[in-house]
Amino acid sequence: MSSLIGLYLKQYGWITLLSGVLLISLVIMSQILQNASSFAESYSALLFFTFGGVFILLIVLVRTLWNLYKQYKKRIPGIKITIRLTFLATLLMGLPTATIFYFSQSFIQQGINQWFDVKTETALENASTLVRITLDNKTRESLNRTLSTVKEEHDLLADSPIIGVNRLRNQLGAQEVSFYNTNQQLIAFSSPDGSDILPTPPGDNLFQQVRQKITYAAIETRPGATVPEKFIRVVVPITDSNINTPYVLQATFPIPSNITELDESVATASGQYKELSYLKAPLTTSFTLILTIVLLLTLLTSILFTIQAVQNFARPIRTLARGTKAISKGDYSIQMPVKEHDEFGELIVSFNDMTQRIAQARNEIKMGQHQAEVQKLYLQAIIQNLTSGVITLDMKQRIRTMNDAAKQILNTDLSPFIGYSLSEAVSTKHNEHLSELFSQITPHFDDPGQNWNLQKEFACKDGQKRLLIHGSTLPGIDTQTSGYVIVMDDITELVQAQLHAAWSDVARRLAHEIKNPLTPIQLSAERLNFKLHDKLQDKDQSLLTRMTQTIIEQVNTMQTLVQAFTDYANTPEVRLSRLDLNSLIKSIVDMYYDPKAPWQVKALLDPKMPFVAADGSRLRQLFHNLIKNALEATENQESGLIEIRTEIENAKQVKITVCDNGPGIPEQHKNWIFEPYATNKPKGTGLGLAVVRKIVDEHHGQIQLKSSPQQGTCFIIKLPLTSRERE
Amino acid sequence: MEQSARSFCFWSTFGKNLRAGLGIFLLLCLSCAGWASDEILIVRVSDYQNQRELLIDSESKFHLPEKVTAAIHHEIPLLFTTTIVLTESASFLGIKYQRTRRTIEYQTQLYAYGVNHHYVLYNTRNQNVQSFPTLDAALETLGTLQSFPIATLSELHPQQRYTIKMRIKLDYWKLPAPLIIDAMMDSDWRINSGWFETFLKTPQSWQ
Repeated sequence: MSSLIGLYLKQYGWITLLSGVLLISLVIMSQILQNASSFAESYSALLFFTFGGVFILLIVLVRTLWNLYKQYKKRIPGIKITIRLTFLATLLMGLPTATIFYFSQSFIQQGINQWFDVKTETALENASTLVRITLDNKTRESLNRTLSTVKEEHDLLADSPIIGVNRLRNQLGAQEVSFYNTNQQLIAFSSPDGSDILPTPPGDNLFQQVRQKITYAAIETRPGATVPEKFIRVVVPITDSNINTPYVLQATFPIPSNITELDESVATASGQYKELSYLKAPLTTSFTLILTIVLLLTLLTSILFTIQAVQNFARPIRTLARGTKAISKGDYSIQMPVKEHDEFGELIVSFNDMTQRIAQARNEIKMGQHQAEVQKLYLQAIIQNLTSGVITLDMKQRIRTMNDAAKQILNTDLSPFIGYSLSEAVSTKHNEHLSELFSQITPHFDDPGQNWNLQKEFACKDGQKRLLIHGSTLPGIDTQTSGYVIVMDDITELVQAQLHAAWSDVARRLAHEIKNPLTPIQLSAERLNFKLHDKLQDKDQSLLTRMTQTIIEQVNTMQTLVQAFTDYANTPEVRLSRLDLNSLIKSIVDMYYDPKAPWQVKALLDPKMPFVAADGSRLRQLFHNLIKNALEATENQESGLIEIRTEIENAKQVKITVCDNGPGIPEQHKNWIFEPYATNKPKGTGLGLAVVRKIVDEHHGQIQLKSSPQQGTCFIIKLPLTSRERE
Repeated sequence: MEQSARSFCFWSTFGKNLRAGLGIFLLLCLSCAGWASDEILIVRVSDYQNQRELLIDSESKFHLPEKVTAAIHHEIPLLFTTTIVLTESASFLGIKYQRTRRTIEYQTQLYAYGVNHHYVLYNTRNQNVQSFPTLDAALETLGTLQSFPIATLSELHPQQRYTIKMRIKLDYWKLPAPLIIDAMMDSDWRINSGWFETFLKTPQSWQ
């Protein structure tokens, strides 16, 4: 309770105090105007105080309105409702107040006018005239009686003033008679009770007047009396005819108390009426002014109260708006202060509770999302680093994701087509090589829930590849299937390795099983020719020679072939050492130098070429095989050109390129060009490039083929640097 | 904490507003004060000495506006304030200065009264009441000073130079309450003779 009172005093105290004081001041002013003379001295001070108070309230109101305007400009929450309610309340209060003011003002004017009606004024005027005439008559009568009596007792006064004044007083019925000479010296006086108190002499002006033989008679008020006491003063000149000396006689006559009272009453009433009639206009102005101040005070106080009340009312709304704004910006940590425990307070408490719950739920969702994100990244990293190509599709067979391995295997980047269907992806020219592959894959999606495997030959720019493709559906939350996953492995190298192993085995068997009988066959053929040559006729002799020669030639060929297979199968262990690659290549190129030949072997060597870890003899065989292969490829060219180029690939390896300007290798041969016995040439063993590849593999290097029809062929070999050269 | 700060801020603002308001009132008051008009003209102030006392005679003329005369006729009491200031001019180390030796201020109330319509002067200084049959007579008396004692000669120095200043003004703050607003608005009510200043001749005769 005390806190409520404290809050009220804090918010409304000063307005209440000031308004109360101003109201009291206005009441006092109103009382003063209605002739409360006890406070009359304070009227001007109260007037200024009231003006000041209203002025202060006006300033406060202007300031408050200005603050409201600034808040409106800043779009402070709740300001619009504050302004609207304030305007409404002002209108609701202002209109009745203005109406009351109008009628009150009219009543004041009419009322004040009615105070001063003509009849009252005439009656008071008549009463005043009546009293004045009565008193004038009495004064005149007193003068006349005094003059006549003085005329009768003139001699007595001159001879015996004391007796004279006594007789005169008795004859006139005067209150007091005094006798002066013109020097204002009292000669004699008479009072009813024989008092020794000297009479009040006429003033200098009266003596002067009387000296000029002018009589004086007037009603005067006795000075010093506590109650206004009026009397008639008559002053007449007397001249002693004997000695011709002027004297002054003063007689005072009492006015009956009833006449005095009536006179006073009429005078007072008339005076007050006159005063009021004069003050009619100022009084109206003053009352109108007070009424105006009351109106202003009422309106100002009401508006200030209303604004404060509406602001108090809107404060929880403002608080809630602030909270919702913060939440809309994502700040769920905000907690609104609960200042009052009313319905709004409960609302704010509920709001805080709701915010807290939302924040908690949001944190949990965030955590979940974060974990899912981590999991997703984890899986993405795994998928991305898989050597198997992975492509995921949605239910409508639109590409969702694909990893790098897929790009490498398919020899194309389908990332720009994420969100597009497979058919749309392969419709572009760049991806048309995928159409056949995907046309064989997509039918498997028609049977959801079934895993499927497929091994497929796939031709692309990198050459012919053999792919092992696995397919599966992806489980969904709402549906059984949310999409598909295609996992593909490039098993070309594996197949090639298997072939290589098989060919090695074949080579070993050939070397073992065929090589041994070849020499006896050759020797037998030679011996047969030697033994039978001379015993046969010319015709048969010639036939024998041709046949034995054929056997010997074919045996030689077979020996060469078997030797090649032996070399392929039984290659010695590589002995890696620091090798100056440029020197090796230069020495080999020099061997092929023949100015008369229609071909030319050129070396384009990088002078900064570092040492490599290699077996010199094996590399020599590699280059011989490649040069030989190139020479065979360019034998139909007018001027064959074979270039061997060395360059530093990066900090870890060097690149050796052996290029020719031959007809190039067809696309479909590229994959098996390194396979044993993969030659389309009439001569040769078909093991030259297979040996080359084997030597490269033994040096932990890589070999690539770059060839296009009529553009020549390049073999690109990358060999690692020695560890010292790397450093 | 925020509430108290807001409360302090409010009282600070309230204080500023109050000061501004009071400043305007003071300005208004100052504008009302010191107004000189020709409704009262101090014609003469003369000094002389009698029985070792400095006396003055003075004569003033009143030409009251019709509105004020009408107010008197309607028995509105008017309070005139007469102020007489005796100042001494002196110098100390070549620096001239003035000091007030005597200030005499008294009020005289003028009002009409009674069915005979007498005009009464009531001097608040000596409680004298004097009635006059006409307003002019009352105003003449109001504006006349005869043998008015200012100071004893022992209080004054014959070598110094003295100045007498005199002013008669209507104290309109003492008018009846309804008239005060009218008096504030209407210059007719601001009746003030202004300061009439004369040098004292009497000290020369002390020699």
